[in-house]
Amino acid sequence: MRLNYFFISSLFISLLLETTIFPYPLFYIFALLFYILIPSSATVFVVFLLGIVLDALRLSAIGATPAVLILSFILILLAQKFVNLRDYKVIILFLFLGAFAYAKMFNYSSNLLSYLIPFIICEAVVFYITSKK
Amino acid sequence: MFNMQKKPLIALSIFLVFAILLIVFNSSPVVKLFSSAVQSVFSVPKSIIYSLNTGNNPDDPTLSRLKKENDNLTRKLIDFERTKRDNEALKSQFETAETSSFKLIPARVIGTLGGLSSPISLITDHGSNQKIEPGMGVVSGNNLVGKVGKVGQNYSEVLLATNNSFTTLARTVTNGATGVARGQESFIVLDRVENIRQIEKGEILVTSGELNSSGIGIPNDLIVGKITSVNKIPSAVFQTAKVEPAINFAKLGTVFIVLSF
Repeated sequence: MRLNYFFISSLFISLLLETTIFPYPLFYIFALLFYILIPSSATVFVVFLLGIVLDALRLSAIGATPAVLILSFILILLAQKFVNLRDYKVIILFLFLGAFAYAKMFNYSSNLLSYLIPFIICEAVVFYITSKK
Repeated sequence: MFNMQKKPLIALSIFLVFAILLIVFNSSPVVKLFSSAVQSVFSVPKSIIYSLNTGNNPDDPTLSRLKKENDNLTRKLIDFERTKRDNEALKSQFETAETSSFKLIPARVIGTLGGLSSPISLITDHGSNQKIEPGMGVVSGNNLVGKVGKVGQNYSEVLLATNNSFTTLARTVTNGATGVARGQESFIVLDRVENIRQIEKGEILVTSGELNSSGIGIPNDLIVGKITSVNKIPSAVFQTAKVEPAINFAKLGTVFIVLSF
């Protein structure tokens, strides 16, 4: 439950930060992590709702972010038949590829280096949280 | 840890259909109302976060003074060239001198899009409710900031002059070489300048002005930037020049949208 609150707060903060001072797909990264760690309908619902809010704040077509995120969730779902999503290296790869594609799609910074460093940090955070459980 | 539901694909597909329906019915009143409400609610926190980042505290006073002096000198140079041009035009009776008085509306910047250090768009707290329309010019002082792109109910996106989607007609102040100014993410390129025209490093580039059928557009004589290098190949038809913007877009707190001119 605490993990749920952590992710909802993170999504909310990401939403504010990435539409003001930090144009980086934080919301997408946290949403993917949220679904990988807690793959429930409630997770999808929260991400869907906040995704719509993000679209409104970024002046994108309302529904574009939830559509891309849900497609990513479907990809994750299909991919877990072939790869082990408990493996953090796989998670990193998923987040990295997904965020990079998302950044290209929604006009975020597409500097490759600016993606590598935060992904390693995210990985460390997830490792810390899950190892405590 | 990975307690997948029994039929997660079906659940995800339903959400996907909802998302697609939202995209399809984007211009419906309900979606517009939702978008407007969200933008209104988030306007204040976004404004606070943005102003904290850009720093409302005054800059170094010496730097501010020098910037002001530089702006004044640039303005005088443009005025001089414009007066010269207008006098010539008056003499030949083809043109009359024109003093533009723009109708401006101030808009607070509440967000950026694009790169971390070099934004390509700004989000302002003015939208269609404040009669903002796509294509309107955006200025800061005598400098061109860009033009309005997408417009929401309470927000609008300003495509900066460095944005890849931004183009406007421009000319050099000293030699009057005309071309098309295009954004290139961190700088501007002056393109389609005839090779026979003279353009030099250090020259100031200003807008030539453009207006659409609705009377919306970018006024002339706004400073686009300064030419930092020229790429001229003798055998080519056109030459290009690299232009550095006159202002730091990332530090803008308020911009002015040109309603009419």
